[in-house]
Amino acid sequence: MDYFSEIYGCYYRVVAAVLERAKGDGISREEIVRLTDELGFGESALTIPDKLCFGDWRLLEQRGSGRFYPCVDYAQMPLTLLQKRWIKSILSDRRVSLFFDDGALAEAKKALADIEPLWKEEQFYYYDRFENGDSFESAVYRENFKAVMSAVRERKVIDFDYTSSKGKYTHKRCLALKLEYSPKNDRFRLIGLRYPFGKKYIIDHYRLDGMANAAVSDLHEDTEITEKAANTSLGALMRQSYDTEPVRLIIEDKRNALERAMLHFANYDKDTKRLEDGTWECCIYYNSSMQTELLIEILSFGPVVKVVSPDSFTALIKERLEKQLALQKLLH
Amino acid sequence: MSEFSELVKSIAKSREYVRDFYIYGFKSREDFDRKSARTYDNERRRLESWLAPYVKSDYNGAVKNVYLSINTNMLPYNPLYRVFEAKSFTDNDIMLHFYLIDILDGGRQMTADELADEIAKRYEAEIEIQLVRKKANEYVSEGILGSEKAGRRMYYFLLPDKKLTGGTARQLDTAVSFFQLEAPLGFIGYSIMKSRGFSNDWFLMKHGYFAHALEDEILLLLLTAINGHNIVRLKTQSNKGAVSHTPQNVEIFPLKIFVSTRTGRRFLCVYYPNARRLSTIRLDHIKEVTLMSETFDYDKYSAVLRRNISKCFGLSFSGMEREDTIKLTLRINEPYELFVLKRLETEGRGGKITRTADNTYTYEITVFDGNEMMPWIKTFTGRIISFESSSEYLRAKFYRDIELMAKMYGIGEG
Repeated sequence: MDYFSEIYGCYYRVVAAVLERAKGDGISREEIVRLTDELGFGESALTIPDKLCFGDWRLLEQRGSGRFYPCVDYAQMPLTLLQKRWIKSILSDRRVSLFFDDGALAEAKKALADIEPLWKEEQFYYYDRFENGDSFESAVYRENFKAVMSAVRERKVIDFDYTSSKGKYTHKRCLALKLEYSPKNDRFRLIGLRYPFGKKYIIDHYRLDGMANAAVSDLHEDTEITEKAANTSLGALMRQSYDTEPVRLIIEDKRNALERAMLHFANYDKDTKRLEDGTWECCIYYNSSMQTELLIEILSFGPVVKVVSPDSFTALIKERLEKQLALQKLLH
Repeated sequence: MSEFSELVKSIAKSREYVRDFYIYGFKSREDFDRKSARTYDNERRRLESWLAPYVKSDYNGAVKNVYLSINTNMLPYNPLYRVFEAKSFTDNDIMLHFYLIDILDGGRQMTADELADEIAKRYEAEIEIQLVRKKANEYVSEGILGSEKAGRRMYYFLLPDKKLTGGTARQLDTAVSFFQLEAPLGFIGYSIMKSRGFSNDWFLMKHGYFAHALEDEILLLLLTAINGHNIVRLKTQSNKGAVSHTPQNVEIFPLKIFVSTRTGRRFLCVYYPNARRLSTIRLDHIKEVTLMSETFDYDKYSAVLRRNISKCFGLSFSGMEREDTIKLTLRINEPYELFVLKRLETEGRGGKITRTADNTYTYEITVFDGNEMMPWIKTFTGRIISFESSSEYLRAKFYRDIELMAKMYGIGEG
């Protein structure tokens, strides 16, 4: 039961796709190259088409037309034991009922009744996970999750009542784009485009735990604008939302700070380079919704990480430090 | 000179290179001093081949930096899973894969001899019976084929998937789409997605740390040992290059996997029976795992862990004989800054919180290693009225760090 095995490999998958495509009318060498480029690694097209067309792998035969036809009737590979055991593990996850209705979950579990899971949840200990995560097992939460999932799947506008983290209660409406999960916060959030749309699209994040009465809207809106919004790249919208100037950090490699910082900030869009004086410069792209979290993450590094720009961000750090010194003076 | 191949027999070496390119994102040819320049060039070429859309380069002066630019918040799957799709194989391996599934599809049962004959007849390919048998047995252990003995003959057959109703299958696909991003050993979920031809169009990760998927081959072995209560022998090596082997006769009992959700780092929590202590080992430092046939009393040592875990703020058990007590006094302006109180409650791992006066709270905790708390405590900079500790070292360190930071930003000067 190998994890690193050719049966899960990219080459086997490319060949399966070629065999599938070659059924019926056959396939040309050029089509094999194109398919390999599409599904394979960067240099796979240097190997796979020749191996298939020149007989090293006797899986295709060339006929008079010059096209290639499959020697094997490609059949879907059944799930391996490793894959079944992985599924068995996720079927015991505390969040799994969000994805299934009760009958379907029972059916899936029954199908794998004789399979051992690869792991059990209690074998993992997430020691710094926040303790106020979402209530995945609550019936209300599950209902809202299902409505959100349905809106995300169909790219529809969703209506819901919302209690913000500061306790403000409002009615919201947005075009559902993605569901985002944070292992640190142990929370799901809906990423949506604020509706009605303005001249500039605004991305909003909503905690699922703060939602009530979520329902896919039956609005018959302007189809053109909905389609345009739905087809807009979320990545491009996120990049547009970043502040023009990234936070520029200077990292000294003391107390293993470099590796810690690189790991810690690995989930941000960032560039890093070494400076001539032996320190490292790391530019982190962010927007206002990330600001506070980024600020306290930087503070956690203490004096081994220094923010040098933008001035607005440096001012935030200075403000915290000034407050800190004032509190210390108060005591003494 | 051997020909370059984008496929590899083992990912042990590539894992280190990919990790360095990804985590550090700024290493040049000169920074990789472990191996020869050609090794660097080959590894970089593979990286470019596997992860082409994410490989970027720029010049720092005259030095070319190649790096991986992966914005984890925006991706439907972990691109580093591609590394696990690069296992090398022989011509016979790939032919037998498709031949065996094709021949046995539809419920046929055949011996290795019959399979070899059928392969020769149907595909005009001569593959030795021993190789056919070896591959069939390999696929039995992978769970693709089943086998049954009748007299002295071993029959092989395809193990078909159990049919699920349409609704259940669709819901399972959705669950796999999510868990391949989030659950341990996510590459397996990704492989299901790929072979079944569906994609994750719905879920994203915030605070996702993708580099750690590179350790998943090691993780699978460790989970196997934890499940079987096997004693393990580990070969470890820090990323700074120092090699250390666990002494041959020292037995390690694997108990649990510790995970940081703030860095994604994972650790194996172990019990050293000779030293009689608990400890943790970073997964990216574990290079080899050997499962011993001997087992240990898992319940007994899990109980030892359970008794001690509440005093472990992170993962250090180093001060089991010497505990640190820490007391913070904080200014929290009521009612506007109650989110700070919320942070203490949700992130403070059971520390005692007391409101001592208007706008003033204390947070007290006793842990094995107070040093582990320092980064978290510094996130409250600007709100800490006092820091007290049974460890003078920690107290001095806190105030010194604040002083250094103030100096660094030119505060309190002139």
